[in-house]
Amino acid sequence: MDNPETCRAETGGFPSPKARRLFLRNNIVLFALLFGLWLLMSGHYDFFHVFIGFLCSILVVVLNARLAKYFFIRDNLCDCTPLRVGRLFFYIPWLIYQIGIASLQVAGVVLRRRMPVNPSLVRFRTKLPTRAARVILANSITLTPGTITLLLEGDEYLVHSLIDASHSGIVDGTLPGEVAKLYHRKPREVVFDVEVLRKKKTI
Amino acid sequence: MDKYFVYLGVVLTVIILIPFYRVLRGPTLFDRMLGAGAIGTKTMVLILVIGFIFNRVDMFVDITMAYAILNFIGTIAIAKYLLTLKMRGK
Amino acid sequence: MHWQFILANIVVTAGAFFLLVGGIGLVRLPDFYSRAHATGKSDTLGVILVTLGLVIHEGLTLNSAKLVLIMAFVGLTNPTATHALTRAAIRFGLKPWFRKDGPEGKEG
Repeated sequence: MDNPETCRAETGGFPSPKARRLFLRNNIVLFALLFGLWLLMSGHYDFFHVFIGFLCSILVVVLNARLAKYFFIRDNLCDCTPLRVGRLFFYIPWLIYQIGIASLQVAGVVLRRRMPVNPSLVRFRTKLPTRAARVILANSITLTPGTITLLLEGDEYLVHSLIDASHSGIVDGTLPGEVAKLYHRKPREVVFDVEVLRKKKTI
Repeated sequence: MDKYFVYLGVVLTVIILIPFYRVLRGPTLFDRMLGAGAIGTKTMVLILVIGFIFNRVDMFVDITMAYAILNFIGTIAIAKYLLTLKMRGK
Repeated sequence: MHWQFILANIVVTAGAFFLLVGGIGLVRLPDFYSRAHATGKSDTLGVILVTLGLVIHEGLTLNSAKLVLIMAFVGLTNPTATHALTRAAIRFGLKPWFRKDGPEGKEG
């Protein structure tokens, strides 16, 4: 463990034995997902079809392994905070509820005769543990009331909001807070440096 | 029961015609792409409904899946292409 | 008619309504970024609702599992595609439209 070079040689390029185990586990999960998808999509359960699906899943995992290993080591994925899978069961229904509100809001704006749109841009920074968390937040922002993500660079977001009331969920930090709860039980403040832009030359 | 899906198919066809306005008149390239993507999404639903009209859901579901993937990849590819255009200074 | 089919019809009709709203929004809203709102949200919910209605109509079969898969796929990819387009647009230098100061006071 003292010398990273010898450690790397022993574990086949991985920084630690734990990382190697985690990588193997990831590949097995990927295989299970692919095989499950094949079983779902094919609908024939005789020996020939299942065997072909098994072979194809193995082939995809093996072909993908080198690329996945490269990214695994480059992004140091074994040190990042794991997703709390159980929390997803709360998060996804909550998100669907928010999507419902969002669509009704857009419908209300669009179907009114003089559309009360008042677009503005919101720029803010976040403190989220992993890159996946940022992507989840970006997609959630696009789906929730009146806001879409325009730019995501590092941890800086640029968000376009359609109506005045619609960016309040981001400014007071409910939505990013929910995303952070996917990773930590009690997250700290995640949103800061919020600024609302309403002029043409500010971007 | 089947009548309902036939009516729904007709309504969806009319709905698909609406974004064509944006594709034809859109002031910028991005508006046209957005319209094309919207047409793709709605067409996906129409294919599903057609599957229910003909009672061949098992076949049309797979077609819908392929259509959804193609729609997504097409939009992403064109967005990437427009980004490279910008980087060449055009 | 069975209650299952009635419920399916109601949900599918609601989905078709949101698809219609997405289309109208695409035509009526003032600039590209606002139009992205219409496709990013209303269309996603429309597809999800129509698919949900068809799942209710179909019952518990392999086909409805595939329909649920389509639902999840659209819910993931539609916002991503919208984001890709808007990102390309803002990199391209397309300026968003803002309301002039006059009518803003009226709307509050």
